[in-house]
Amino acid sequence: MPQTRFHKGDRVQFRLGTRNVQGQVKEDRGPIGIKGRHLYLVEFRAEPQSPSQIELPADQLEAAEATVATK
Amino acid sequence: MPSNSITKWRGERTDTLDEIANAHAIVGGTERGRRYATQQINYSYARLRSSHFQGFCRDLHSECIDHVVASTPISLQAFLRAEFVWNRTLDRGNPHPGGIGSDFNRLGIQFWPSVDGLDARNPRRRQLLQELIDWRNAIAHQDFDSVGGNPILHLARVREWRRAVGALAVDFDRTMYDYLTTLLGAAPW
Repeated sequence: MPQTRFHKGDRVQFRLGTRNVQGQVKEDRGPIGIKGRHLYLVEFRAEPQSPSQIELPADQLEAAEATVATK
Repeated sequence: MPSNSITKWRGERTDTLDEIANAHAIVGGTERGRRYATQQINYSYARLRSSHFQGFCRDLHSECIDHVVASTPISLQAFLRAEFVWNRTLDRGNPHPGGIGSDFNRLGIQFWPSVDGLDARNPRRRQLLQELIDWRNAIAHQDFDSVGGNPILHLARVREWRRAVGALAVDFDRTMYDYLTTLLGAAPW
């Protein structure tokens, strides 16, 4: 199954604890994860005034808009 | 087997630095003009060396987080990931020894004592890393007081930094390999 690839600027969503959170891909960190999987730096706002960042593999991200390509 | 981070370090990051080293070798011109040109190349070389070492350390830290977090329940993974990168020094500053240590220490290791334990030369290499960072800042701000006031940077010194951080990169990789193998019960890479 092809690995979903995201790009800088893509809107994504992911599970944080018990809720779904939306964010934006800030950087493709490259194939540095387990077994060479890509990690993505995602910026999100848990609260309006407090931006946070997280690094996630593609399989824990979903496209929030139809802007995601697969290779 | 090496980590993905050090494979990248030995590949594209080293290639970029080799290009700068080659530029120094081929620069021509008059003695005075050449001296100015090589000085600027040495400055660029030092800044790039610092930048790429920061990139390597950040990559290795992220790779280690991926391994540590993967061993926890899926419901906990996202906020553990967020906590590990929150306010990470390697995302915003130079790769100075104190920042590297505090970022990796969050993973439960005593980072610098472990690195120093691998090779008696590593404390000296750490000093050279700090010297590189001091020069990187001096060049960026054009203020050389913190490096003794003399703005002349010789290629031999940049090469010494290159050897030092190259050796540190290998030992960072090995340190985290040993630590994660013990922590997780299996070799991470």
